[in-house]
Amino acid sequence: MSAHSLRWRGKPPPGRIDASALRPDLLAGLDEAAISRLPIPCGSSRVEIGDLFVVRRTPAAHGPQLRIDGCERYVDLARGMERGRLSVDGPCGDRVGRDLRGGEITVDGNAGHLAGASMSGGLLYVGGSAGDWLGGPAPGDTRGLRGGEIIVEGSCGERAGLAQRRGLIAVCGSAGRGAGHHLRAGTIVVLGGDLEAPGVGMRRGTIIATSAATRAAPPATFGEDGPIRPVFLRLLWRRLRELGGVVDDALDDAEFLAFSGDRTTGGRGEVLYRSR
Amino acid sequence: MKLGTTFIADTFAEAFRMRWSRLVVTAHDEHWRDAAAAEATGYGSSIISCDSEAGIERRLTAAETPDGRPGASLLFFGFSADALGRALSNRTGQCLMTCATTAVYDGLPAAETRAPLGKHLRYFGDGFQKSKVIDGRRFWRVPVMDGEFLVADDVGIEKGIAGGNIILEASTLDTALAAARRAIDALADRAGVITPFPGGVVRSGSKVGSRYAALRASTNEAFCPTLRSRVTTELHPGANVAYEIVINGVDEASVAAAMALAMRAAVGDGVVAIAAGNYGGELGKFHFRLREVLA
Repeated sequence: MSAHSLRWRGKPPPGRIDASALRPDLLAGLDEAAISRLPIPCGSSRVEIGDLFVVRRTPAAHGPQLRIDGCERYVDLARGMERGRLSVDGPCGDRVGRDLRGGEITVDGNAGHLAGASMSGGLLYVGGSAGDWLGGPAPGDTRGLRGGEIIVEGSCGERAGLAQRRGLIAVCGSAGRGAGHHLRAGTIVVLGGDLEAPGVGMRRGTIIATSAATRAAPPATFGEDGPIRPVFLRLLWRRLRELGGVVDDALDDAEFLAFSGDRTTGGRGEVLYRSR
Repeated sequence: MKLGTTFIADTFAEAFRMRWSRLVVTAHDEHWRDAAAAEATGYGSSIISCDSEAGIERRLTAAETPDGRPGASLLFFGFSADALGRALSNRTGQCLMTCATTAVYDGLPAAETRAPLGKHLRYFGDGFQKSKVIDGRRFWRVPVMDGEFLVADDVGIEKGIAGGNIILEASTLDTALAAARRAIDALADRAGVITPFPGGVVRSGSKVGSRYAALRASTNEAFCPTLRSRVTTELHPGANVAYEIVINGVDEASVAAAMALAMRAAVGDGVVAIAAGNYGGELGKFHFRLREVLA
């Protein structure tokens, strides 16, 4: 197996870069020259990867790996990736990890809107913050996250987990308004702060706010079920710790106030606010 | 051959291929953990009349369990994957879901053969159950009167060995009981094996078949001291009491090591001999020669 690195040859170009081909599983087995000749849409034109990046190849012990410099103008970075490991040194633009099926993407910076859009497997780790519609449906799709795990060390924008079907979204900071809008199933965890108007139209699934400072209530179409200490949360905290999330040990024994809803759409979902 | 003052008979234990599974059970504290473990492994001594052979493999500290609570790993053995799966589902539903605060996890996540567990038990939730996938594994959350019963969707099943055994022969009852306790204490919390009989010890060692057609097994008269003058006895001349320790394990090495450990712990003054139960070597695929496992 091989590890590749793509470093900017000069300044990043001013236009948006369609980075869907920058996938470790697609580049595995190609030498530096072959990768340099691959076309990549950039702005209104098409350039070769070698025009933008200096390509380096080194042996790798564990699966295909790719390390690239970050850029806020990437679009669809690693779209449809199935295996391997992609590391982004810096920010990335919209829809990083779109349709991700397997492997691991680590962004050492902020991610734009629709990070992890329509992904169905693998891990997307964002070291900074993420934009709106985290794990939401990709353009033209009706379903959001349907598998895999998204960890955001910072905060995220509005409507995280829009139309999510399965999988896990964990935000270590706060989440913008409307997380879990039309959630179908799966789990959204907000570890660090606000959770305003969550779960509107949700059918199933779980939305969890672990900050004791969070005092917001879910919409009026939710019913209060009282305090609970569900055992499954212990497994969830353990998993988040394995994934690198900062999870307070006190959460293992924390009590949550449970609300079920949205009753306008069946009421089988739940919103859990930490109460103690 | 002697081990200390105890004669080791030149014989072998005859053991069989069985399927096994491991459940990891956790609870709020050690009291409910122990209650759950005892209930779930009860009536699990012999496959002759029980749905499975069951025992506590070892107690687990909070740091060793999936949810950070006190736990126990339980081993269950059955003749087939289907039969074992039914036993696991029944025992979990009746003995673990009913026990306060418990949760049940798959102790063989890498096994290819799977048996449904929560997949069946979820229906107790009557439509209020919820599933949750964490780290690629599905769990079921069944609403119960103290909150939720969390149970793994399915559990793994592997091939193991049942019927490893030693027979302790002693001059007095007290000596025999003490030797048996030493052997069982030595095996306590040993990974990979269980001793499924009461206190780990069998007093009614059996042979295959009976003069009564309806019975599949009957007393092993060759080791009954009260029949010494009426049958061809296999008891040591100095023995007046015998106890069998049956050992089921996840593989041959585990059973052999456990047999050796039990023998070394059991020997002592008054323990005149250690033998083993077999059926002439024609029924069981695995033969554990006592002197070889001690070597």
